[in-house]
Amino acid sequence: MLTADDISIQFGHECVLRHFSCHIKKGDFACITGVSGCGKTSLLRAFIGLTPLAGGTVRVEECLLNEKTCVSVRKRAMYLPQELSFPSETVNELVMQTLRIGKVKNVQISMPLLRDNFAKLGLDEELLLKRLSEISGGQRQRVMLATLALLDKDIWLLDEPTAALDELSRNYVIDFLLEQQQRGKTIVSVSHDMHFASRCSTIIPLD
Amino acid sequence: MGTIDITYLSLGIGLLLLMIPIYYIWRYETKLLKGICVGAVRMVVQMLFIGVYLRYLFEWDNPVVNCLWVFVMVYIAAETAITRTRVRRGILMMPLVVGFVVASVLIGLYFLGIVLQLNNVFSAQYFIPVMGILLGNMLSVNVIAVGTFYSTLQREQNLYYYFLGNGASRSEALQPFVRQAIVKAFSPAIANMAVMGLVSLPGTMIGQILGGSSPNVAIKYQIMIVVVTMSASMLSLMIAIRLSAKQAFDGYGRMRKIFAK
Repeated sequence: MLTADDISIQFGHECVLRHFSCHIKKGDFACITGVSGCGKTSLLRAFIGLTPLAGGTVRVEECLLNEKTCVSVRKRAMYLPQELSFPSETVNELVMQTLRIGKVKNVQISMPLLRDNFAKLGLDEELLLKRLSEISGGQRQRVMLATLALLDKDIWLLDEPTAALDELSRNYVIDFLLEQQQRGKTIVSVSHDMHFASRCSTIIPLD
Repeated sequence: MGTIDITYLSLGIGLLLLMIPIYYIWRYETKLLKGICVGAVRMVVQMLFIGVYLRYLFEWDNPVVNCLWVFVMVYIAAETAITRTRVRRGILMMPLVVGFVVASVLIGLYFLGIVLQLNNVFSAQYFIPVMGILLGNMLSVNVIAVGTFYSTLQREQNLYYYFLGNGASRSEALQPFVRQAIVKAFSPAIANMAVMGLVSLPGTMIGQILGGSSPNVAIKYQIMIVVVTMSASMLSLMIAIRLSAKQAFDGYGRMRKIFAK
């Protein structure tokens, strides 16, 4: 499904990844691990053309990622960055803004699914009425995951989805992702969390 | 009813009022002291020179000369905007020039040709002041809006990449940043428009009344000046953002280096 072939990533004079190759199968749940600064996030973002490559190629199925194909590849992908300052005031606005990116026309139909995702991720539905400043970083991360899941993309790219979570919330997220894998989603996640990595079907070490 | 002339001595006495802002700028160590002093000197020198230029421009009243003069003003406005926003010249220069020229020509000539119904829209008496007021406003709006747009984008690039990575096109991903730039640049003008006549009596109107026009005529001119400056500012801003985005992002939609050192 996702193939990085002999890629190198360089920022200025610093080479963070050199001649690296990997292949992630369709329906896989892969975890990119490694020490801080080794290029995990850069590799994740390279799968949707957000990281410039100094060499090598990325393929999504048979499609070679380039300037012409990157938009169509991104339409198949869901990307959740680790840190994000959203210009919304309330949780509900954040949800609506995200649904607008995916051009979800009928928001009413999506709401029961959103409530269902909230429940699976251990979130209270009342959270939707709160201001963003009133919820924790971990809650925000899970709200975004629950909302992005409504876009129903094939490929999920997640950057440290359990970084700000306690053990119980982390298990909610892992179970949710495993359920999505069962539904045929291909999931690639960056994580420092060894428990999280142990639940994934493939580990991509960058050390 | 003639206008009372201000002698150079009186002008000097009037300029002493600048000591009030200068004192507080110095007192609170705002680092604006050099800026206000240089700005005030430049203003006086430039305005004295412009008095001389305008006299000749009005005497010649030649459409080609008038257009060339406006183009010089466009170039200086674009240079000023680049200096103030610190956005790289290669990204912003041409979009600003195109934006200023297109907005001045379309909106300015609409006002002069259709609203005022002048036989000669290039008449120096109307063409030069109208283009000047349009460019002045376009410059202020573009400096604030373009600066806000690129600095917010640089600071919150994660948000831009979040939109892009989830399938938004480049222009869709840029929407929140454009929105923010418009709000910041146009809020003062919109607030000012709402209280015009109640709280503020704008310069154009006051100038015309002091120059001997009837308040009735001056008011109509003022309304049109507000409308044309706002329209031209928005049009030039949209052109500048759209054209500069072609240079500021690569084919993948990734940000290039935006700011000059």
